[in-house]
Amino acid sequence: MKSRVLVVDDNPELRELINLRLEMAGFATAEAEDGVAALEVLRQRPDCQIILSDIKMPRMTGPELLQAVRSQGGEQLFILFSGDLPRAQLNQMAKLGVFEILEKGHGEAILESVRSAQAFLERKV
Amino acid sequence: MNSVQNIEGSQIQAFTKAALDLGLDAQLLIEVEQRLALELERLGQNSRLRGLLAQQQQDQLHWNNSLRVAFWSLVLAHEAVWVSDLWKTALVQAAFLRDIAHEVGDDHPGKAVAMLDALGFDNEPVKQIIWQHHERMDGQGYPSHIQGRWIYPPARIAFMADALANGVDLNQSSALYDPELLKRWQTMVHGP
Repeated sequence: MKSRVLVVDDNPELRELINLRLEMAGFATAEAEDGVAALEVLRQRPDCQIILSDIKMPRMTGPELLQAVRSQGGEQLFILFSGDLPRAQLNQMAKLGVFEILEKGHGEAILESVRSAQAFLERKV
Repeated sequence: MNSVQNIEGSQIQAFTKAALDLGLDAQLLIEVEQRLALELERLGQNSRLRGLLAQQQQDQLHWNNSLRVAFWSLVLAHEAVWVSDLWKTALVQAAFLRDIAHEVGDDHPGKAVAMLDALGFDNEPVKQIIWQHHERMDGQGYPSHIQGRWIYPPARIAFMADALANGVDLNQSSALYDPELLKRWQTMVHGP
């Protein structure tokens, strides 16, 4: 079953653009304006197994969302935008399990990463 | 084709022969050869990396090892649908850039990444592969002892490719590798 993709970004236009692109590619989506709202969506939508998140957002940032999800035992695949984070913080996030770290604004790369994440969820051992 | 490309061509043919001897599918290997040639061409065109790579090429033994790791990375990635095109390119680049700091200690991945950061190289997937290419599924890898399930997926390929490039028998240390990749490898060698 295809995962729903949760798009977390405080920029509503960008969020809409990413959602539209994902929906055109056949993905169901959900959205949240920051980490706090994302945690609420995750409580209501357990089918969100892929999270596409911005880094800098009010109330709760992308790295804080990742930390919160992992501390609650969540194993969702995170695709994060690198922003201008220092190396130490990027590596700290990576230790918590990041599926991909992308430069913001690369539409095709976003879609490719989401497709890759979906295939990763479906792989069998 | 210049002399370096000739050497690379003969090296790649040698890897292909070794892989055929192991029982890998000829068609798969042809496709891997083609992809590797394409990626090497792309690497050669990257003006930001040209100086670094020229320096790496001075040490032919080392360069051949990078080529071998790149080859095995693409073999392992070949039929894994979760390996994006972006990751295939990143795996090849990482194979050639992971030792640019010329360090051998446990911190050599970190030093290579720091060097790439300092040079303004902004491909984070390549840097994450380099940083995590010695992390193991049992959590006992380095430099960060990342738990297996959190290791960056293409870095799992790089780790396994490194073992194959160095002739390690994967079955003797199966707990170190991603189980799906290991199963994929066993199927490639022994059939389904």
